[in-house]
Amino acid sequence: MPFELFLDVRWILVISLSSMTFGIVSPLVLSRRLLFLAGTLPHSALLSALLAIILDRALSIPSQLGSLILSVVLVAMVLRMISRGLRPDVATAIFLSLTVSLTALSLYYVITSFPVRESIWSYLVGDPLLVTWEDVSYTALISLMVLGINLPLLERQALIGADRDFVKISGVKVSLYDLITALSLAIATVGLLKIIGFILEHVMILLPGITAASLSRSLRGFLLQAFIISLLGGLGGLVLGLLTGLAPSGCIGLALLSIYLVSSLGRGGR
Amino acid sequence: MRVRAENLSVRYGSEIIFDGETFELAGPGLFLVIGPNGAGKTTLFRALLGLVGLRGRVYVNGIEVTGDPERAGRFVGYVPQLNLIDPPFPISAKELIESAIILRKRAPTLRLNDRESSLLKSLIRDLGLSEFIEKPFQQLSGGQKQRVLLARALITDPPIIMMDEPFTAMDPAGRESLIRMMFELADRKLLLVSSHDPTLFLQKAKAVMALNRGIVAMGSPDDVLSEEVMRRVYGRSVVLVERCLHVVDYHAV
Repeated sequence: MPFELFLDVRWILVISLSSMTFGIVSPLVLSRRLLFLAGTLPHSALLSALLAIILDRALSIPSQLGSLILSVVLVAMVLRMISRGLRPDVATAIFLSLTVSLTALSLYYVITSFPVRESIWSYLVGDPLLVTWEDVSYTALISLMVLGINLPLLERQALIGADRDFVKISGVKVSLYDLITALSLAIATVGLLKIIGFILEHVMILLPGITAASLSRSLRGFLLQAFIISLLGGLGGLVLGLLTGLAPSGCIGLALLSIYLVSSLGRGGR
Repeated sequence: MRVRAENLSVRYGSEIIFDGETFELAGPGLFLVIGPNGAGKTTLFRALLGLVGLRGRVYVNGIEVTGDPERAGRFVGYVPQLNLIDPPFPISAKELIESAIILRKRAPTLRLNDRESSLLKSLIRDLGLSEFIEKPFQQLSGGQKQRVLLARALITDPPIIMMDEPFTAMDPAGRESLIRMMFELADRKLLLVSSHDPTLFLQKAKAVMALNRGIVAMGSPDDVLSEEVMRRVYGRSVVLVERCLHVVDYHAV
């Protein structure tokens, strides 16, 4: 039987856009020393998505808009706790406890009250193969927003993580960059939740940046490599998922992990 | 080139670090800030740069810069303590130095122009950075890192340089080379240096400021480095040795 691989252009588009977005988000999180947030962001995104479904039913607020607003509020809350002097690990623990508890309550309420089981499933594991053109447009909007704002600023964002005081005396409004960071992380994680899924978001936030940091020798190389690794992992995982019949989101995670392991072996297992 | 503080008060929570201090430093020349750990040396620098909340006023070259790091940064190049600079991602020595210029550009995507590139090249030559300029900052030795941070502070040619504990994590050869550079700089800039070891700078220091949660003494090295002042600054850490041979040979610095 001849080998055939069917690729819908919508799948390629949503995975490319999502991967490029996380190719920016991941080095941003690493360079701004926000790795502790990597485990927290998907939780706040899932809670925002669930609360937005409830708000949609109760008040007719469009769930996509509602989830974006709620996600921004939640991420701002945890960053506020830290800026007020709470240790990041303590703030993360408090925030996780809150979001996980509320997620369990919201999930139960949504599943038992509204017939939206497919959506909930896609929020958890991602559903790139069931995307509609409307989903593609929404993903494009989220990605263009995050990429458009952050691409020109990414080097400065990283420099803030390297030496915040020096960036301040160089005339950069660091608090504005902090705000952009919080907004970008909140928008990206909740906006792409349906495509990437809650579980894979943990990997997509962490691995491209960590892999690139171990491979490159310069800031520009690090930023470029994180972007390429995320894109390669995304598209490679999609193809792998189609070839094996496994869930593409899981395969994307495995592809990214493989890139990390191969790069580690290439550096002598360091 | 002049730094002036009026009624400078800094607190961390309920702890008073400075309480109504007034002083003025006029350059060029090397000004040494000494004191034990926790005396307030770093806090003093950060207060002068507008990086910590304070009461009072700070002027640089007659212009008020109180609580305004951007304005202070136009006149002051800052070399922080080495152990505070640990980028969580790879960055080459060259990129770190360039960042001082790039961060000041209006558009974040602008790179160095021809004049700035030639300035960078001359700094690389003058500070002996060419061997490791493309290497990741994280892989450099303490002395190499310190020279890179000094180059970053110098590339915008500010009239005032502040160096916080510049000899942390440095071998003796690295110290010697850095001291030579600092002494040359002090001939044309106001160089403010904090250090645990005042003896390294005695031959060049124009004035010494001794801190211990406030300014204990300030004046010429002969006036400040007396047993009485040192006891007030360092307490029981001061050990009197009747005959002490202290060799400082910086090869005719």
